Amino acid sequence: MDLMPCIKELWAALLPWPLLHSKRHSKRSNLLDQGIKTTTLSLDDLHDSVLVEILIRLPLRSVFQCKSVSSRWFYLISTSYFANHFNSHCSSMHPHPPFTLLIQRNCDLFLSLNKPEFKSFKSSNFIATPNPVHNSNNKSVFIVEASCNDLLLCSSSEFKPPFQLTFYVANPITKQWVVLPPVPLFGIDYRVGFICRYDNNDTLNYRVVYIPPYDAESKEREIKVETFISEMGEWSESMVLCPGDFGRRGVPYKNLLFWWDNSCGRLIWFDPYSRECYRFFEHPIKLDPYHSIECHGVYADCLRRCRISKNPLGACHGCLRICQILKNPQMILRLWELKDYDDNGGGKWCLEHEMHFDEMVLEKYPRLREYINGDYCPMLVAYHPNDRDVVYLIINFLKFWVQGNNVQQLMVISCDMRRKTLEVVYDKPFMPRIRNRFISYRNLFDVFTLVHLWWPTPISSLS
Amino acid sequence: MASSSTSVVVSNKEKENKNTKKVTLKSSDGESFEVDESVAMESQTIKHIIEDGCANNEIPLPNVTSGILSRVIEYCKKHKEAAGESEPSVTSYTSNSTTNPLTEWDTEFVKVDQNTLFDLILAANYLDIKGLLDLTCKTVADMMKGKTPQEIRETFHIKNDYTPEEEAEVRKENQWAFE
Repeated sequence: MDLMPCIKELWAALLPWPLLHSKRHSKRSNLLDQGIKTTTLSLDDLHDSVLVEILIRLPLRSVFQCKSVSSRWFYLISTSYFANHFNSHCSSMHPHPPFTLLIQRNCDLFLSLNKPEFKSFKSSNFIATPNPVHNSNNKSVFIVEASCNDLLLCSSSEFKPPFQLTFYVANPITKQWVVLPPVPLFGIDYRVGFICRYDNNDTLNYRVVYIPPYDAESKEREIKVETFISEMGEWSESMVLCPGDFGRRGVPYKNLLFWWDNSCGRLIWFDPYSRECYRFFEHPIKLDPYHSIECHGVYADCLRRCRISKNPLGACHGCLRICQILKNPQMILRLWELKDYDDNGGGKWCLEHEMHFDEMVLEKYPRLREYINGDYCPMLVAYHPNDRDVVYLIINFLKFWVQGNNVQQLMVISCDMRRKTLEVVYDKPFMPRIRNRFISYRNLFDVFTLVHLWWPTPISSLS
Repeated sequence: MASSSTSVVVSNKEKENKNTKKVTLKSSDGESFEVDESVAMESQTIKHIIEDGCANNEIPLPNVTSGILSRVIEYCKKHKEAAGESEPSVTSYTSNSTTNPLTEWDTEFVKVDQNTLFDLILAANYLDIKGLLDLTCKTVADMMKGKTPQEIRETFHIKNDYTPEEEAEVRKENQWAFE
């Protein structure tokens, strides 16, 4: 039973609470005036706003446990008033909420950070819980597709008739999730985008964009785009002019979804919220003058096959960024930021960082030197959500990829581009368990950013 | 208790070579407290009354009893002194105990029975004294930490108005918080 829809009505019915309590309090004052000893005060005697002041000073888990104390507490904690105050209080104590990298290798999920906030998120539990068809047959695959703040978009593909793709929106911390109505599965090279935001009533609404595979060569053709509208609980189809070839996963930024078109070196965006305007806007921006990626041999091959290489785009601290690592002749990392972006499509790419790998300070991790100097191409996997100097790389990506299904070490490092230092954030052997041939065919590897917002994003069931 | 005959006076005491303005605060049970205006202005509520020019005689505080008011005044005096010794821009309202020299004093200050604690919260809320509200609410929150819902009910005398089924439902929905 989902109590959330009833909240508003019941809260309205409970509005007399504040009046009740002030009456009680003044009665007590009168008693005092007459010198009568008062009865024991309970927290229930305090006004709602005062009780909120107390509860927001509890850690998040304790707050949610307090929902079980009484119905008054339940409704109070469930209001957006409470969530906003909790958020403000936490933000005043810490600048940014914690986040972790979520690393997906085939069907396994790994966290790069094991803080207590992520305690309830254990990969095996999470995979099992929201998926009602838990990989029981060998013909379905359950993976994470995208992330937005503290929510994940997952999918379950059925490789047998009726060939369907089912999306899930989940909050891995609170274990809330919804199942979206399935869409037809035409192939595995589809593209996705996921974006969420709070509307004026502090209700969550989100969009899932699903673009089935299309022939990128035919540029003038229209392609089908399916958008899921959370408020309506259904998919809406639209046809847009084919913009060419672009990466798999859209980056949510300023209520739009952005993709990078590698063939033309341009930014493509799509507005999933405006229902009148399901079009791709083209914004030709040249990465001056370093827009070609030099790659050869095995590296080129793995770039082609690995979906992650097609996602050099990301967002950090309110700006879109794009990164390029190339060997020319030494390894160089360059990062551009989109400045002066406005809704009319204005904006300029500015080079923010340029780092030569051989300048990196490696005293702390001397063994990484072999990877920097050798032919192991570093790969950018994620941007830090707040720190503008930091990106996340897999430094031994080529070795990791080429070794295939043998046990190997996966090293994710955080790289401070300004100080030219490294920190190893994840360094564990991967034991890929190939569950079925569909997985090995896809050779799944992906990294997501999960931000643990101070107040978890609630997911209510679909209308 | 008779109220004092003078209200807002410009003090002629030269002992500190300062002219300290005083205000008189009157509790709900009729007791009057004369305090430095600067100390009284730790309360935003009183500050607005004074600034609005409505503090001609005494400032009545019908929601605060004398026992609580005297404690509140003690808190304000102590924190005003501490702020006066350090830079003017420093407020002593941080809850970071490593930097706040008053932490020990504050900890002793809130070692009171539950009724008094709640009364202090209500007074701090009514008088709009951020530091005191922060301190007292944090104290109650710390009393709740680590307790199960049933223990919280017992400690704070809260009535459980859930049916067993409802309670189980709520707990199940928020199971992640109990892990």
